[in-house]
Amino acid sequence: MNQTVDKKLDLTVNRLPLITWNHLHMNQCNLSLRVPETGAEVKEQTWTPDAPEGQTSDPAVLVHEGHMDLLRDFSEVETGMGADVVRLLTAGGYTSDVYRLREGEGTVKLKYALTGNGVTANFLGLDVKQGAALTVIMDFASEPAAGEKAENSETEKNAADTSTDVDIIKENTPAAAAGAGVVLTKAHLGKNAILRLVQIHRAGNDFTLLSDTGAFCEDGARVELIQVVLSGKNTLIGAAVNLNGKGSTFSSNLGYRVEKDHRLDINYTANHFGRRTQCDINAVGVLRDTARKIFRGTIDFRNGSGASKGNEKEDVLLMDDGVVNQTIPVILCAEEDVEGNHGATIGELDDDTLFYLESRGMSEEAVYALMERARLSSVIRKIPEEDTKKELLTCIGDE
Amino acid sequence: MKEKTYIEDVDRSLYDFRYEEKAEDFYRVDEGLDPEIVEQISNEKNDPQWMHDLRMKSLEIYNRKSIPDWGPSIDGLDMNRIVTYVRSKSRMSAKWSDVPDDIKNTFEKLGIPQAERESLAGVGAQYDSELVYHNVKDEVARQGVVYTDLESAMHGPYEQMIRDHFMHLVPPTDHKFAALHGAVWSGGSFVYVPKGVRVDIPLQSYFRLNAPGAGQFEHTLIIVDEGADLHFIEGCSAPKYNVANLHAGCVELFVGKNARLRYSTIENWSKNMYNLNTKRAIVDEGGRMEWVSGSFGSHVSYLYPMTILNGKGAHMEFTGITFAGHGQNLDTGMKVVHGAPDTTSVINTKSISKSGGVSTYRSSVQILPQAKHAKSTVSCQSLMLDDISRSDTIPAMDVRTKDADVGHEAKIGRISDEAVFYLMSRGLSEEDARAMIVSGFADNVSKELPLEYAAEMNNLIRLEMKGSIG
Amino acid sequence: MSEQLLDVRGLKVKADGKKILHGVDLTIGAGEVHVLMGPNGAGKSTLGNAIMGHPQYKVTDGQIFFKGQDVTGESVDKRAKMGMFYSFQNPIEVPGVTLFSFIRSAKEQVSGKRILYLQFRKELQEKMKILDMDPSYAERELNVGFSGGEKKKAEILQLLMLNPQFAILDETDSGLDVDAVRTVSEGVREFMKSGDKSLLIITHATRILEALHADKTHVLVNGKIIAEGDASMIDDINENGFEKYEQAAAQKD
Repeated sequence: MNQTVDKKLDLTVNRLPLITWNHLHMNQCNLSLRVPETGAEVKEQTWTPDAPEGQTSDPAVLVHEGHMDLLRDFSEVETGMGADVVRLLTAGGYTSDVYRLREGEGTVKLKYALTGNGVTANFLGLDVKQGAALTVIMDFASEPAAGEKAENSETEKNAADTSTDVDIIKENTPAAAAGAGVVLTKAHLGKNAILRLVQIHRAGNDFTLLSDTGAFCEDGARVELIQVVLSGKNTLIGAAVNLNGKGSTFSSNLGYRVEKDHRLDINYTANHFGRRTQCDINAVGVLRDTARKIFRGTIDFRNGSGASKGNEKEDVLLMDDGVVNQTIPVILCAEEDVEGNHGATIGELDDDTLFYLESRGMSEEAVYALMERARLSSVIRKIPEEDTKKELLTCIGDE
Repeated sequence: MKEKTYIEDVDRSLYDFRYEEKAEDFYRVDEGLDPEIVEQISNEKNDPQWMHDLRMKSLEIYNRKSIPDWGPSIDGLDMNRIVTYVRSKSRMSAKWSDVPDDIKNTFEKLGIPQAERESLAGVGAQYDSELVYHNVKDEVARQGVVYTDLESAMHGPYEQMIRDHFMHLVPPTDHKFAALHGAVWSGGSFVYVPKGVRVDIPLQSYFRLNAPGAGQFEHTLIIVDEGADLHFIEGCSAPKYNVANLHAGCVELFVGKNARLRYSTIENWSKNMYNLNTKRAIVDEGGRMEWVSGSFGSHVSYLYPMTILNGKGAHMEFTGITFAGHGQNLDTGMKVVHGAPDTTSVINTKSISKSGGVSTYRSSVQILPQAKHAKSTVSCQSLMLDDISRSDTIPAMDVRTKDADVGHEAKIGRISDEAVFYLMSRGLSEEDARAMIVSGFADNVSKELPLEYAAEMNNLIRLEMKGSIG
Repeated sequence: MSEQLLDVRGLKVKADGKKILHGVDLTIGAGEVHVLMGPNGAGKSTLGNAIMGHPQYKVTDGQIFFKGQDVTGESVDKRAKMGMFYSFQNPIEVPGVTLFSFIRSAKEQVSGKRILYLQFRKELQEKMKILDMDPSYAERELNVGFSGGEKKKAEILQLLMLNPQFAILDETDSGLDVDAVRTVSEGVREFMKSGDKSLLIITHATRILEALHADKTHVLVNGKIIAEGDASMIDDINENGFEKYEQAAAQKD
């Protein structure tokens, strides 16, 4: 289409705020990505309360606006992946949507179709004004048919096509895949505003998804993030929440299942600036086959964030011997009057739990399947929107 | 009662006193680092050819390697100004009475000869680059235990053993300062505990860096053979000068099948010291490695004792405390690699930050695919004593088998006001109450140390806590 | 004598490297209720765990037959599928798994067929009613944050839902108040209603036995069964302790 199509950019994303030994290959994710031409097709876009586009005079209405300037709008919002995502988007083409909720409650549902061999990019801006409560469901899915097809032709493609859009650089970088999608979500929350953000990641066996999110909180604002990862050759997730305002809070629930040769690369950061801010980061997951996962989670207590609390927990069940699990829970602290905790449990089920469940007649395999479902469903059940919750529970075979 | 008096009598001047060295009593190489200087050190030490070659190769590696891009800044360290080799003109002695007076007085003040008489199986004392004193109790020597300086061991019957182990665990290629160590190392100890021998009382090395602007690069090589048992204590101190000093020592520990080694350190370098020390242990089947580590001194530290659990059922325990006060940036932690089935590790660390000090806990726990049923438990706690200090925790875990059990817990917080109030309501001053709470916080390490060292450590904490109110 | 359901022969068991059972023989017929008594540390729970097949309790000698089959080396879930049930003294907390989905999965595994949601929910609610459990418990995580009494009720709920042939109740009544014991006993009586079920009750107290007729009592001391008798032994032990039996056993040796 145009001359930017073949241009590739080397990106460093999901970098730890404070790095450690390089030989561990845990500090960051490096990848090379073709500059996007356009956005992914947003298959379904529904929102309530409904209003005619552009009717900004009614303050009680959710307004959907068109193209935004990424460099100007929402520039105060940092994201988990870092500046390279904006660099990528501004180097090529992307679609953008902005939702502005002035008061009351609103819901936006977005379904992104991740298909094809190209690179697509979408930007979503969420502006939640003082006291308003916005629920946003973002579903990133490859067409099931496309996913199946990709699986069949996968070996062929990897062998034959070396000019894929994502290149392997070294360990902890995405594997070769055909297509890639980048979705950048930035949110600004006014005083006492609430954002419930649900993101469902289910890209295909041959697809790379970069899902990058950032939120900026004023006094008393609250971000509730729910992320579910069910599939995807490479899924990269970044999430950063700046708790700037007094008493603002961030809670996050991440549930993942990574199988086959898929990779999941996560970088969470909670930046505590304001007093009495709080974050709770919970991750539960299961790794199967030769899946690889890295979870970076940072709680950063900046000077001035007195009386704040931060908690972070990851619980990973390893199902097969070929898996690689990396976890690095970081706490940075420049403030005396804070409480920070992190914990991680990694490995197989303990003998006593296994015996207890097996004594009720379940085989080891069935017990592990139950635990996998339980982990995912514990996160899915927190989704505030019934249809999405039901669909996902069915999808994982719970109910 | 005696211990109590000891605590209160000691003050910081114990470490800060210094003798002005008379130039004519000491041999020193020029400042900086180049092949001639390394050649000079090698000649001075009468190296065997292989050691001479290792030094030269290390220097090349040193020049090639860049300084780490993670960790605290070492910009204040100018290698062109560091004197890599300083020794007294008198040679090592096995009798305190033969040690030159000013050096002897230094160690007397530090209480080393007294401790040897009372509670140690053997003592080595290093002053600047060379050991000035080395002695082992007769009954220990009769069991076949070798405790000597590396240089003489290298020219004796243990040459081959040293050649087979020296910088095999920490190769010069490991990092820039391991390469530096390989090029200019001097001093340090060689310990060999034969099969089945249990040394009931500890051996100790004490390192004192007295010369200003100098570097200390001692090498400690300990081999604990099958079924043997040893406790080794390392103490370090230096007086304060206005120029930067460098410590880039290296410790290599080989723990044989079903053997046990406990390695305890109370490090109290002066606060102009760059402490870039490398410590590593490899443990065979059924063996046990125990680290007890207290880091109080230095301006900048990079210290992460590493353990490779190489045999089935090997076990390691790490108990550590780091206290970062004014002007200090202490980056400490540990590394463990589970490389065999049924290996276990237990890590318990504490860190305290105060008066603008920066303490970083950095660690890595790696479970390799063959380490079936490996189990690792980590607990780290940090205490912030004010809001001008910093405390960071960066623990990495990498697990590559499903049959693993890795648990990690970390906490950061402050002294609870309720606890201070409670103690004060019983008549303690606020300063004493806080000092008592901090000492209690540090008891994971102090209860692992022999009594006199625990007392010394508590004293160091008390000193650091002085004037912490208001 | 009725047909043998469980037949334990010369069982020796080691746990944590220590020998705990030194040759235990125990036979339970279909429809029988047996009581196992003994002082603390005698090995009662070890016997229960070994019959159920806990991997940490190593059978070093002897055999366990269930329904005529040697199950000594059989996996725990296979034993459960054959109709064995063990009510744990300290049920494990399993975060993330609801009581509802757990029992449903287990029932599907044991019965080998898919169970319809509505039918299952109805049955579960009925049984919960018997045990005086609030229906909301079904959505709670398995044993997480349950009180002692709630945990024991959840065990009996599983017993009723899975409906095995033979159950070991390990200290099911200990630590419970009078009301809770009554409720739990009610659940056990419901389980026994069909008349062909067997029980091995490990207990210190007699309260749970008031509602049931015990056919036989076994006294386990130091890893050996030193005395056996009918239900009257229970009262005797409760009044006079184990001493008499221990002395008698010592003389026999």
